[in-house]
Parts: sequence; structure tokens; C-alpha cells
Amino acid sequence: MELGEDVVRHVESLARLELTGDEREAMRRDLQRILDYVAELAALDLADVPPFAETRPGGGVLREDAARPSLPASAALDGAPAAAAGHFVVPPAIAAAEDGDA
Amino acid sequence: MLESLTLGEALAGIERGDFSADEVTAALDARIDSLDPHLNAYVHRAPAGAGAAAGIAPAGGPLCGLPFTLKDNMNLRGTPTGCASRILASYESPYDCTAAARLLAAGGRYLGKTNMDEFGMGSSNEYSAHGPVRNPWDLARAPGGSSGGAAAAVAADLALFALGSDTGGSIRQPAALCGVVGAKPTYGRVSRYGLVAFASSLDQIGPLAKDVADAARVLELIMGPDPRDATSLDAPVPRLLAAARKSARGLRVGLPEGLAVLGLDDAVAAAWEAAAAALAAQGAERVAVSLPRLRHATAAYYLLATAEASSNLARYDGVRYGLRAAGAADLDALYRRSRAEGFGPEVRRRIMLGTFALSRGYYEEYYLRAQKLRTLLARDFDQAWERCDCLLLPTTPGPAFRLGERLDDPLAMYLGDVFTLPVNLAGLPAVSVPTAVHAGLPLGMQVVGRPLDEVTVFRAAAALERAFPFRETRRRAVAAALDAGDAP
Repeated sequence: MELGEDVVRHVESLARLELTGDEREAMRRDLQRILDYVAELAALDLADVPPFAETRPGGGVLREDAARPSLPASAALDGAPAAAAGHFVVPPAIAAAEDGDA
Repeated sequence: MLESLTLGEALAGIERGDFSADEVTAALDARIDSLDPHLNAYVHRAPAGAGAAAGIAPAGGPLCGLPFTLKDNMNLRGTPTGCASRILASYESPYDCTAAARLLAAGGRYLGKTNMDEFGMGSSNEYSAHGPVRNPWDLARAPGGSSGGAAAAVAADLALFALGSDTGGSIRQPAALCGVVGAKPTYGRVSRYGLVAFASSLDQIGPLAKDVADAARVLELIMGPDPRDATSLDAPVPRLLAAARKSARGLRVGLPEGLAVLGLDDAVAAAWEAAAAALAAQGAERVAVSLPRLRHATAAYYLLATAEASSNLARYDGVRYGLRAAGAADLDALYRRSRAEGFGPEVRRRIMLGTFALSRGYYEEYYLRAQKLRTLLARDFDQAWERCDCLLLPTTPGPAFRLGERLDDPLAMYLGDVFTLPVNLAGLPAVSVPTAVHAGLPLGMQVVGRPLDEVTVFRAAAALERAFPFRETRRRAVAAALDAGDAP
């Protein structure tokens, strides 16, 4: 398929990334080359093949449904860029509407 | 020369009272001080002399206080775990990954963390926020990746052994390109708890080591079920060291047909033939097998691995840990800018590709078709097991490439993983063993086994090692390259 800039912009938004114009065009070219390569899969007859579902060759481990000590909240917050009163601090979810290309 | 010992030799020497584990660690520390500025294999080091004294390593145990390294994507409490990414540059682990915890419980001592491609995404160790690792055989060449620091450190005697992780060849490929042994167990053998996720249905931890017996020793210590990883297997740990001492007599070794189409250097083809002949000379039987979908595995892998990565890397949002972009007016801008600033070019590319493959309108054509191909590939392997006990194939299509050579051509980089990534797609165990030198660079051969049959894999790998003793070759080549000084 021909990968247009509109699709790249849409995927960029889904992925919560932000590319500059030059980066976006370079990304489009790279992805186009990769998609041209993986197009070989489109030529295969896979109609009756079930999708792969399990890498593990045997049974897994189950554990008791019992409470265990977990990471203390203070340790979990230690790595946070901003924290206060036992919580993560973030900017408002709804902007004051000055954000450029939203 | 305590730094050049194998793990087996170090254990024997300590038992005889010839030297102590602390002396081995001190020798390694001194060598890292002197040579790592040339290689850039380490991104973090334990404070010298910290080990036993700081209570990090208990005395005794099967590892007797000897040191190990972790890859920069493995959590160990109180150490930075950065995945060689800007986005985790400030991250310090609040807990231990199971594999590291098991090495510590076995009397191992943390020596440091090794450089890698960012989040494990790359095959040259050039996509690292810490800069590239250099191949100790030729400082102008890449060590492979993503566990490039681990492979370079083991090859240059800057580590006794190392843990790496392997999603599409990230242990075996750098092991092959640096002339050391690398092992990826069956999916589920080693707990992934505390390993920073790249592609969860493909990731496995395993050792990079100086010989097959060392890899067997380390793998035995880290395998086994873990209640903290629901994908870990409830299966008994096989006796791999014992397997490595067995003969290859009677093994049916499968040789896949048609590999030349996938782009095999002449030197690699010759080394492959020599390896097959060596196994046959030790009593193994050569069997031709067909893996018709192998040629489509790379296309499927780069859709599936990136799809899983796009999901796993959604957690880096500038909120709970890691880098946060300054000045974002709202939450969505915070996400986008933090991720744009924090992720390097290859990680962004893979997140984009994976997000695309999973997105509405493209999911069926890309992600789903790739999962169907994966089913067929697994069936190909199943059919091969009816005719053979293990497979022998090259680890890489060619030797170590020059730094920069593939940096601007992601597809060329991906195609170099053609022989390793099918093994991850099918969840199989494999060991790469160095068997040949071409134009001054090592080549590796890979033994691939049935699910859970690491025993046969190690048996065949050890037979290869007996036929192609590599240690002295590696020692001389690395000494010559490091004597020659820094890269141009």
C-alpha cells in the first residue's frame, strides 16, 4: 500500500508521539519500505489458518489468591517526575486550549 | 590472569583455594577500568569492593561469590535500569527481577549493567542513549545487538558471564558476532518478572558465556517456574551441564534446505557445512528438512514484535517514572512530548509500525496475517521434529558489520535477524556457538531444539565446541584488536 502522510499523522496520534515535519517524512519513507517488504504476507493463502495464540509449550504456574506485600506507595512515587500528597501530579486533562496542533 | 577464566575454572580454583571470588572480581574490575573506555560495554557498575561487604552477595552457594552482569533492561533494587533510553535515564529499580534474584541467591555478585539497543530494539547496539558498543574483534565494527554490551564484555574478558535477553536473536546474534556462546531457552523457562518488556510473547532471558558448559551452569540457575510470571513454565529444570558432557552420537541433526535464498555469505555457508560435517564425524546423522515458511518469518516478526512493543511501551507517559517534558499545558501534550523527547529513532519507528499494524482498517491485513503465518511457521518446526532431534543453522547470514553501515537502513538491519527470529516466533530453545573465523571475524552456528528439549541443544552445542575450540582464537584476536588502539 501507499502510505500517505495522513495515515502517518493518524498513527502518530494513536501512538502519542509528536514528530516534526522532517521526522514525519523520514518516518513515512522508512515505514513505506518496511510495508513494501512485509507485503509478501498478503500474497499467501492464510484463509483457513488460525492465528497463533500461545508461545508456551506447556502449563504455566498459578499462585494462591492471597494478599502479599506490595511496593510501598512511597517507593512507587520515588521515580515520579512530580508527586504530592501521595499522588502523581499531572497537568489538566482538558487544556486551556493554547496547545498548537491539538 | 584471573579475568580470563571461565566460570567453571573460577569455581574450581576457588574450591581448591587457589584464589578467592573477590580476587576474580578485582581482576575484572581492573580490566573494565582499563579497557571499557574502548568498548563502552558497561552502563553501570557496582561500587568496587561493594559485593559481599555490602551484603549484596551472600558467601557460598553454587556461584561462590563470583560476579555476574545484567543487561540494562533487568531490574535490580537500587540500581539504575535505563534500557539505554533517555526516557528511563533517571529510573532506579525499586525491586529485583527474578533471574537476578536467583543469581544472588546462588551466591552471585552484581558487577554491573551492560549496554544495549534502546529497549532491546536493534541488532547493532548503535541505538543506545549511551552510544554504540564496539566489537572487541574489530573496534570499527558493531558487536551485534541488542545484548551487544553483554557479548562484548564476555568476549573481551570484562565479565565472567552475562545475562542477556532475546526477543528476535538479541542474545545469539551478538554472541555470534563477538565469538562467544549465547543461549535462549524455551519460552517460559526463565521468568520474565522484572525484565522490562519489549515483546512479551517473544522475550526470554538467557546467558552469554565463554563456553557451552558455563552457559549450561548459568541457565540451570535461572530457569524454573516463578509465581510472579504467569507465562513461566511449570516444568522441572533439566540437567544441562550433564548434557553438555554427552556425545552427539546418534543425534539426528536437521539441516534446513533453501537457506541460500535468504542471503547467506559464502563464508557462512562454508562454516555451516563444516559444522554439519563435524557433528557427523562425532556420530550424528545429517537429515535434510524443509521449513518453507522460514522465508516469511522476518515479515511476520517485524509486525508482531512491533505490535507488542507499541502496547508495552505505552506505559512510558511521563507520569509515573522516567522523563517528563517540560511545559506541557495538558495531559495529552505531556504524553506526546515526553515520548517524543524520550524515545530514540528506532523505538519511535517500531512504535509507529506496531501501532499501524494494530490500527483499525489495517489489523486484519497486517497483525492478523502475521499471527497466521506464525502458526504455519510453528507447524513447519513441528514437522521437522518428526525427522530430526535438533536443527543446525547459521546464527547470522554474515559476520559483524561496520558501525554505521546499517544505521540508516532499518530494513537491512532487520534482514540480518533472519535465522534467529523464527526461533522466538516458535518459542524454541537455541544455543549459538562460535565455530569459525572469516577475515578476522567470528561466525556462529546455532543449534535449535524442540520445545523444552534444552538437553539435546546443549548436547549438540557442546559437540560443536569440541570440534571447534575457540578460546585461544578469541583471546588472540581480541588482544590484537585492543592493542591496535581505538577505532579510526
